Amino acid sequence: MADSLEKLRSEALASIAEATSVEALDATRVELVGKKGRITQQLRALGQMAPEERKRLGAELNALKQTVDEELKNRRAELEQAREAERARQEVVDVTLPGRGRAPGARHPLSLTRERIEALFAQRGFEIVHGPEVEDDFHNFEALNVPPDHPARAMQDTFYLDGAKLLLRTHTSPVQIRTMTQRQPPIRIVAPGRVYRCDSDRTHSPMFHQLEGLYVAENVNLGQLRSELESFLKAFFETDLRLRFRPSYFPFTEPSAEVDIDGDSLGTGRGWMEVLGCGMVHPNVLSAAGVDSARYTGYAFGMGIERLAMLRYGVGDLRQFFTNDLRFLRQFV
Amino acid sequence: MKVSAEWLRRFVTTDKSLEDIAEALTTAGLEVDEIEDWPVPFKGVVVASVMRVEAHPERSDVMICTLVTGDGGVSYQVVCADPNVSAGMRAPFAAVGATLADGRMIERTVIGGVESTGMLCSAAELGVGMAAGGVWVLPDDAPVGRDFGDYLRLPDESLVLDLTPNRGDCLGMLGVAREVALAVGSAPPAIEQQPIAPDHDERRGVTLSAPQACSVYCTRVVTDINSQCATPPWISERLRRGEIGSISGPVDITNYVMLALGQPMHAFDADKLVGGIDVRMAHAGEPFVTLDQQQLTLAAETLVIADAQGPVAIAGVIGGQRTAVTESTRNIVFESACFKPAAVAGQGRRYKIQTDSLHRFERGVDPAMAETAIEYATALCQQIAGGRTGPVNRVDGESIDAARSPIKLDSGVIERVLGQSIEPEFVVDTLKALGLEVHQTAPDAWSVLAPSWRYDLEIAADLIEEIARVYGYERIATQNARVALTEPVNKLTDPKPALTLLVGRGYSEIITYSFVDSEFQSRLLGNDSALALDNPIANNMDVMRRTLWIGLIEAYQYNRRRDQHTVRLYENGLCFEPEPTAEHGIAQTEKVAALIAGDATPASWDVKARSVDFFDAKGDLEALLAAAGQQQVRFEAKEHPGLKSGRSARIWCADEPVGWIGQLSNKTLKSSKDNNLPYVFEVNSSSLHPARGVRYQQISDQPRITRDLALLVAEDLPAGRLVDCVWSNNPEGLQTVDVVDVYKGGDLESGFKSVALRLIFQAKTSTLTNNQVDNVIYDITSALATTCGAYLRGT
Repeated sequence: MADSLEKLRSEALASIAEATSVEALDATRVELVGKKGRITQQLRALGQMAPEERKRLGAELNALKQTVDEELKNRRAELEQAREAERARQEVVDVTLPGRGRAPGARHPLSLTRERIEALFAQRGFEIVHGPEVEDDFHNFEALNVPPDHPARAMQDTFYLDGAKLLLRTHTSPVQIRTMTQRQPPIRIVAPGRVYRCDSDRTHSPMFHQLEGLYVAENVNLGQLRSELESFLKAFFETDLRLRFRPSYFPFTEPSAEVDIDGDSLGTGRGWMEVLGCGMVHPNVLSAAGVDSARYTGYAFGMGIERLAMLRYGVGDLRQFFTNDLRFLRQFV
Repeated sequence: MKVSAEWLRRFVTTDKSLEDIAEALTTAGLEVDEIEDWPVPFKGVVVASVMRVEAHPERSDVMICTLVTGDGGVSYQVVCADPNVSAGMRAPFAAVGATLADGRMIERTVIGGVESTGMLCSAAELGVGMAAGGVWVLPDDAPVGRDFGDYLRLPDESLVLDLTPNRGDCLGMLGVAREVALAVGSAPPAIEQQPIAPDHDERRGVTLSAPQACSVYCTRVVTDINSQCATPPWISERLRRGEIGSISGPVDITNYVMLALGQPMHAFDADKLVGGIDVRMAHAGEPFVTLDQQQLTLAAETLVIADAQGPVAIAGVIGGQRTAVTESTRNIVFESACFKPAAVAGQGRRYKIQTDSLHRFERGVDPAMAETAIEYATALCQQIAGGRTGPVNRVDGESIDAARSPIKLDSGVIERVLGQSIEPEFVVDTLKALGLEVHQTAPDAWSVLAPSWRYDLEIAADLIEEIARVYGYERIATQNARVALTEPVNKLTDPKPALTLLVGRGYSEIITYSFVDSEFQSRLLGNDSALALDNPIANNMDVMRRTLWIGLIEAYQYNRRRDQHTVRLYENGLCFEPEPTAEHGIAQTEKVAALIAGDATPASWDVKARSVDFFDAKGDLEALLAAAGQQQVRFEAKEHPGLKSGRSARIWCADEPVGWIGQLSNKTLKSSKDNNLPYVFEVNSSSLHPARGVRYQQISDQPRITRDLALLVAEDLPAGRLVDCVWSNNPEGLQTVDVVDVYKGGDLESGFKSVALRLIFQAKTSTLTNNQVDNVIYDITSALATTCGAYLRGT
């Protein structure tokens, strides 16, 4: 019996040690200390034994069971730990593999530029308004102090429609007229949009974008216009640029000016570069739009969105904006 | 306008550099684009006098010339092929060692046994003339031995001015010089042209039948001129630097006067003028042949100069061939007139002619200059072409001066516009320096009269600009506006947030021209009601777009040719559709459109690429509309001329059709093989910014009950009909209906399909019982059976 008990002990401990998984260990446990386990059966057999024998063997068996239970527990902990470790190893992902799904597209650089300009003017209390692109002569020229056969018309080669009864607006300035004929000052608007001129080469596109600004109220003056545009340009280019106001001519403003920025202060070189035109709204324009020019003054300005985008992004060729090459577009995220 | 520095400095005395002058002019409003260099194109060329011309002993095509280049200096022997070279003439001479404009160095040569030690040069060889003529015949007073560069006043520089259309007065040296003098603080230029006493009394009769169109008309007859006279190099050079070619003595004189004074002139051959001159409106249909031999038919709105036989010039625009000055002309009539801008405006466009003369008259020519100019031209003519002069015959029409009225100006209005006060003394000094007459009417108030050459000064604002530009825009103090804010009139209607969603879903924004190819657009939309441009820039950009798809398709094709096969693009912009009720009869509607092609999901390490299909496009569109808050979106199967049959739908939001979605057809793309054609959609932007904001709905905490219905229906029954039918009786507690499975084939009877709907019920306040839901489901299945012929599977 002692011999078999010793054998049981060594076999039990061996089988516990040999179990390589929690499931195998469970089977071993059942085999040893389960309801029909070898140790359980021996313990159950004690009842038929003589008291002396029962006492001695009982003590040994209980000690054995205790050892086995202890070993089972330890081995189980070991195996569970190994299983955890294995599971953790299995769960490792290669974080360097690319994520699933589609890359985003991109806004067009002209839209980004327009929105940037709009946002800066919106901060300064300008309302954003839009006007039609097919216009009539009155809004595009006559009300803007450009009568028929005015030499200034030659500055803007016009697309005509419907036997010259209509035209594609050559600038965003008609929105000034539309706004002033619809409401009275104070008026503080910017009007972005497409404009058209019958001209196409490396530096001219038959379609391009402008943004028009108009402020009409009492006591509006040229000093304020300078300040307005200086703040805008410095904010737009995010640098303390050097700029100059140069007298110029537009039929719809008097006095008129062009604003040049110093390419060296912008970091692009090339000296003075013209970026926008502006001036005090011509009294004839105010009158044509039904605004009392004795009471109100105003300033207006217009800028080319392409020009500002080219300077901001370092795009050298205007035509790039309209080829819609994805390799170009995707750069402007 | 190009301004030679050499010439300018004869009008204005200043020690300022040309760079400083350019800067000062630009700051004062005459923008200088650049300073152009006029270098000496040759080296070692001098003025020579031809002493003898002898025949060559062996060759008949060349001559032997002997010439000298200085008093008592050595003589040179040159073998020359130009038959016009004669003894006594002066010409530019390049001795051995000199260099011509093309870089060629003159070497000693022997021609037919005769040594040649230099070359007599043409203007072309010296790089200062276009004409490929022979040896340059210099005037008899050309100083022998003088360095020829010096003689031509080279090197020189010119200011390239970008003049604005209001400054017609600066289209002559005199006008520019006035501005320069003001800008650099020098004395204003003065023109002193003494009247030339007539040699005889001959004058040509002038009738001014259109006095409203011409304020001054001066003519002068000069007889017995030498039309073949050489234009002196100082004149031809100044013309060249003003970009005007040298033509003949008399014509060069008129052009020179125009460049100098801004007064366009004309010269007629007096012997070809028949009878007197009439300045009149053309008779409609009257024929006229221009100097450059264009045959025109004149309109009644055109002002002409006519003789007894008809028009001899379009006034202020161009002369006629019949009376043109030629080499054989002996007697001429100079014309110097002031035609009003309104009289010549539009004539250039009408006859497609652009001339220097028209350019100036359109912008306004100083009426006070006509007589000065004709005197100046006469003086030059006597000096160069000789001749005997008659008296100036001046006829006046309606005065331009009379149209000028005094302008009221005061310190207050100046301060109002500029935002700061300007010293009254500065105001008066500036206006006077600009040639204006200033009369003080009250303290700090004036009545001002513009000079005859300034057509652009009409109102106080014009004078304020003059004061400000001389004062310096940069010196005007900046100040922040005290802005009065007003109620915004426009709603925020920009569909930007929705478009950002498209970008997030992989779309890139494009911008394409608003004019498209009419043929393509008709093919795509099935008719050609588009608005056509009168003057398209290209044949394939001849109509306004009615859809954004054309630009998208072209951008797709462009990128595909560059190996970009997976393409997701959108554009946002106006489309133009004839619409009688809209302003100008054109609806200008903002739309958003998109195109997808290539892979729906890009191939990657664990995903297989899949080509896009209808539901990729539809999913993106639904997301776009959902992001804009559209709740009642409906897709109606409908054929579209540009889309593949059976794969297109009209999009409805509530009860309004807002656009189309589908797959482009082979016919549209003119493609026979590509069976994986792009999908497109287009919606009105108005559908992306619904008028009403969002209203919050109370969230229910009641349990949800889910029921799936597997329905057997006819194969061609749209699933949407089943969903509509479920909703049709507004079932109690129904929250959502989704199509969760569509199944065809297998064990199903042919002609049928299985559609599984998932219905989710949830009451707002009380718990729904299964019993209640059972009753609702019973009603729904009955309705499905009667209206859709749909039966629960397995029943």
